[in-house]
Amino acid sequence: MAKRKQIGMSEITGEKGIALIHRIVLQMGFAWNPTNMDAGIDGYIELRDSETGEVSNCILQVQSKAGDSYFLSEDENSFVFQCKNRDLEYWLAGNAPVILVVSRPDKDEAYWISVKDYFSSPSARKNRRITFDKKNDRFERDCRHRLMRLAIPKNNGLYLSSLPQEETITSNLLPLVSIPERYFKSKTKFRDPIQVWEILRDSDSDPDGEWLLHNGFIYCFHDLTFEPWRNFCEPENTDNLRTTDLSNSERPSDRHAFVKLLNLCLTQLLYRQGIRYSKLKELYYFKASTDLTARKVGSKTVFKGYTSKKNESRIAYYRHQALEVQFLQIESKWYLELTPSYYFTHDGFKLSKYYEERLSGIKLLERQNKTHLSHLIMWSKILQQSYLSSAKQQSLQFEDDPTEDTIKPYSFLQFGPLVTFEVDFGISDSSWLPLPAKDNEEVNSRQKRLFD
Amino acid sequence: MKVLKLGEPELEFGTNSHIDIRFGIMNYCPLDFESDNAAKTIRVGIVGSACSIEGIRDWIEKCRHEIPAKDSRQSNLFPRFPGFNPDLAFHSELTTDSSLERQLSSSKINSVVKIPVLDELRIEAVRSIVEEVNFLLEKKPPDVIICAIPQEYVEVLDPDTGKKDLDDETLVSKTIQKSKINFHHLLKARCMSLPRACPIQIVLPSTYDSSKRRRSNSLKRQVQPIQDEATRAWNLHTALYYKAGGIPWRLKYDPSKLQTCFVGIGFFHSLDKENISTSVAQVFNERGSGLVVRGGPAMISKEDRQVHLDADSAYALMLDALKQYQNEHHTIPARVVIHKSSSHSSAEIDGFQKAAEEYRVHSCELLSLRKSLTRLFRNSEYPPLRGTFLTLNNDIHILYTRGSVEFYSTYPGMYMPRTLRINCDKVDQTPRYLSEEILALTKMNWNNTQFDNGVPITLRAARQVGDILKYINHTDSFQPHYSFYM
Repeated sequence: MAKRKQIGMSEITGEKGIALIHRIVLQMGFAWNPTNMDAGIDGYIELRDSETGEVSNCILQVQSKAGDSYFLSEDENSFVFQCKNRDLEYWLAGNAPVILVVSRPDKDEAYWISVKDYFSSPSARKNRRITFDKKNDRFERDCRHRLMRLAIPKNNGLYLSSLPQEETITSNLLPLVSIPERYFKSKTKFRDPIQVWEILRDSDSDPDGEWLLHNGFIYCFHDLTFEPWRNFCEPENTDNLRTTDLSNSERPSDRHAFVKLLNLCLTQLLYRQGIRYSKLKELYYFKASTDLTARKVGSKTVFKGYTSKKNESRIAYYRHQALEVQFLQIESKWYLELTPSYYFTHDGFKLSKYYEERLSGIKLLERQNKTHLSHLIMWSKILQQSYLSSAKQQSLQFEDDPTEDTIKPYSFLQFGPLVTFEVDFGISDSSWLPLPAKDNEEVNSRQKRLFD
Repeated sequence: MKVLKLGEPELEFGTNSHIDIRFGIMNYCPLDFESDNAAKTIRVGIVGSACSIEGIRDWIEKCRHEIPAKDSRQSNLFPRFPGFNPDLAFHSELTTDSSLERQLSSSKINSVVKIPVLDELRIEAVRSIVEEVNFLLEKKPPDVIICAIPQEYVEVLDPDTGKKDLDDETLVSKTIQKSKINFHHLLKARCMSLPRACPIQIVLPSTYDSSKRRRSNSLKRQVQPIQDEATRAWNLHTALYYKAGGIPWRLKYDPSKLQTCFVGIGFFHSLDKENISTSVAQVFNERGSGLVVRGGPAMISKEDRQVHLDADSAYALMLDALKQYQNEHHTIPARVVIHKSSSHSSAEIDGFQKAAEEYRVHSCELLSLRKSLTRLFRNSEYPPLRGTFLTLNNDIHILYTRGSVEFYSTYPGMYMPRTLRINCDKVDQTPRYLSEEILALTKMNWNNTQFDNGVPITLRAARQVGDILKYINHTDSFQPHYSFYM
């Protein structure tokens, strides 16, 4: 149950302040356009010729601050207003004139200054204080002409800096929080991984895959002195080494081997959850369900057939949720960079012939942040193996192996939650228009389409 | 790791600065409008079919006066075009007359479009246009030549691949002829090799005639959306102004900063599939005057699998770039910033530095820039703002060069924006300063008047130049000015 939106006293006072400005602006014979933003500029005054009623296309931006608390060091003739640094930076950026109106709506009192003029000197900017002269700075009908001198034409392309508002930003970087501390490296006479696989399969129908044949050595997170590994290693030439020596090595080929090992572990982790790797497309994707019915993880559909538009009884293609990954090392820590994508098949297995077209089409629709972000979060949970706690097992909807009731979490890799940031700039989405995707007329094709 | 927001850099125009290109020119004129060398009258040559010549001529005539803004609620993204005439905005005019026009005969066009092999068709189509361009140059060369590509060519140069029925996977789709030759790049390469060459501007019929939209092979089999007329007018006239030697805008001038030269280095594969990549460099000053330098062969290193130069080639390339700069501007920059599309090996760092020291350049900074898939997400409809800057560590940074733009009140892209990964391989300034510079350099693209380009002009130009130099023999001379390549 979402919390009901509450309207506090300060918001009501704020609204009253804007109403007061609106009334005075109308008395001047100008037009008032509120912006209805959460932060930044509260509205525009648009100049009009009071004789003809013609709008001059010149505007002023207005920031309202209403309430007793803004009146500091007040006496009969003056009071002081203390600006926040962030507000001030915002008002001073850009090329549009900004006026600040400080008011007591309950007493019908309002005062104004032109922010850019007031703070044109560096010393004024330093202490961020505005001293209002109650007589000269009164915001009332008679300051019409002073406002007219300030305003600039709207078609000059007004601009401000980004809105001072707090947001949480999620990155697509998933920190790797634990890996095996030791790895094993052994000389081998084999040079072809296929031979190694054969030996492994002789002793186990489903052998472990986290090993690497590289420059005549086997690198592995399993102990190579045990079966079945001994069969192709030289136990007397096997080293038990610290993983960090490999991952932080100066030699690119060592680091390359380490990243390969990580990727092999990742394949194992995802395999347990019904996710396969496509070498051709270099991505992981949810495999088809055995009966080709739609498959879900949590509330997200991860595999589904789409019917032909012409013949509703026929499936045209299947869409699988997919993921492209890359391991990155940042300051000796490792992260997995996640890029959610899609995989298309003709029958659940065979690649769709129109793979590229389908992908491009869906990416066009997915320009919006939100869908993509929810997929990103789903993948981060899969990689953190959150769905493997027993209560959530059923949400994976497995039917592969009825003998195995629960999937055991994979222990070689553990990921933490996605890296997030708190930032103090953002967008007032509500004040912008809907994304062009919903409005074909607004799609703006890029220049290169025109001249290439 | 931390996230900051870099402000939108201002550009300097004739009488004032502004963040936006179109409003800047409209209200404050081009940077050089008062100088004696400004492009006041631009002599435009036109090559095309009877129909395409007439079409472009009429449209240029129409654009002397205002083209109204598209009816959109995003007035800053789609402003009006004020008209290209001596009295406002550009303060310049285009002159065309019949002596500056060369017509392709319809029999010539018909014989070209009948060629069955696509590569040969493209080569012949280029040859037919180059012949006429050559005629124009033999007389008094114009400032710039518009190649108005005939509609007949447009239809055969890119055969329609849109007959796909996505609904049915079992149908056998028509195989399309694969072509190795790029018509646009080949035409530019051939035209610049002519004696007394001038820059050319390739214009497709859809630019002046919205009914001639290009078919596209998109999912819905719809025609590609074309920009509104005012935007098309802005883009064409800005490009013509620059190609005629005008300077529309510059990076914001700050007298306290060192005079800087920006060098973009990219690599391209030669046409003969030998896979020898050759480096090209683009040298820009703050006014956007671009010079082309061709470097030696590069190799793919076994160590990091990236393309690199050896120390000697790096040294020679940098020396060449500084020599060009000195010849053009009669001075040596105090600072050189290199933007390269691969990381800098120690051999490259040594080579570049040695050349910079020889020319007594005070500071030489090396950055490598690549598209990245590291992304940030806001929990709402719009992607992060252009200018969002993520520091991964002291040397590696992620910059959103495309993203939501406040001035446009929208995200003006078609796909989810990708980011630019900036590696500071050897720097003197702070990463933030260098990234603000990169953000400003994304606005120095005279082919586009929307200011949110994805890559800085250094790299964009290096790529464009490489695309065209492919078609010019290594031993042949080539044009040193960027305006021949854009």
